[in-house]
Amino acid sequence: MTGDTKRSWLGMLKSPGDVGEDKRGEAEIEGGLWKAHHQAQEGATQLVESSAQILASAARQQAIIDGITELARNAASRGPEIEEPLERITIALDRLRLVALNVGLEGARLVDPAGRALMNVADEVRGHSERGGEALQDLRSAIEDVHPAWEQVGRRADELRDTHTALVSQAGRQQAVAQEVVQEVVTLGQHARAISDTDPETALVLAQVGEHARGLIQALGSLGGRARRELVRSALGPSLQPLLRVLLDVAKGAKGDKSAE
Amino acid sequence: MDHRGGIVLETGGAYRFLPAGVAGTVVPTAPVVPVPGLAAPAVGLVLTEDRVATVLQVGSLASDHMIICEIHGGSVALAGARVVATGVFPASEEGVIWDGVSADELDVLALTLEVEAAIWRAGGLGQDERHE
Repeated sequence: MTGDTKRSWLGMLKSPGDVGEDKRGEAEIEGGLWKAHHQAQEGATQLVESSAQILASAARQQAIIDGITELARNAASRGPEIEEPLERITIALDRLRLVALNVGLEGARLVDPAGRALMNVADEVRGHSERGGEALQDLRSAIEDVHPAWEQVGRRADELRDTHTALVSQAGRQQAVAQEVVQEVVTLGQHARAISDTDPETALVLAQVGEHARGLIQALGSLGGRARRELVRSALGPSLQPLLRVLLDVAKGAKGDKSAE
Repeated sequence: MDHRGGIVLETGGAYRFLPAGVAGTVVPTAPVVPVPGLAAPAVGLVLTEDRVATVLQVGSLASDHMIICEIHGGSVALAGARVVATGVFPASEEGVIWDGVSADELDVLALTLEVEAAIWRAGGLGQDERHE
């Protein structure tokens, strides 16, 4: 790339002004460009890392969803297992009720007081067995209500897994795109470096120096008018003198470099 | 007031009293084997507690138990009825009073004789038909 091309490219970015301001503006633009490039690169890298973390979390989530699905299926499939003992209890209570009826019948055959005692026992046992049967029926109804709920949980877990699979796929695509963005930003940096005179790190440092200098000038300018200048000078003197020495050294160094060239 | 011991049956729309001397045991309902030639109220035979009993349909309820009675040395099983009470109840002219309701006595012996007579009648009719 020729020097003219570089100038024309930078000329598009910088604002018009005198030569000194042109150079300063050019440095600022280059600094801003590399700063933006640096931030874009960092952002894209963070995006790649974030996508990787999303995928890792998704894998853990997948394991949890699989666990929920398995639990729901197990719970739904245990309906017949529960039904069998319930049926046995029902039969046992029915037999107990028949035993109570027979005891009552035996009591009716006997004369008091032995018969009365038997009948009382029979009534008591029959009452308990009938109440047990009613409670068992309530329990069976409750289980019948819960069973479809577990099946529904299983179906919803399946739907959740499908949605999750789509999410993982999208996260994978996002990661791939983020990696492409990183590559593109790197390529963009290479192209920018080819058409720029300044080293990227130097441009960044210069941009920061420019920003700090402007900040200092702005701060000093806001300290007050002519009437307070003496006061400001006396207050800032101890701090400004070392700074002025540093600035003079920098200026001398720059002059020396120019004369050497 | 006199009292009578036994069981009160619900037969579907009515209550019947079975004296303790007639009622034997209450057993779970077993499959009824239909027998050709039997006449109502007999509906078949049942094997229960190592005994073969003639099943008499005394009601229209779908009950989970039958009442076994010993009549003239033979066993009959009463089906279609549900035991609602056992014990000693105030006697009435036709049976007992249970829970304020009249429960007429169920005459199992009469039912058995009715079945036998019906079977004999059917047999006699068959012979007449053969003579013709």
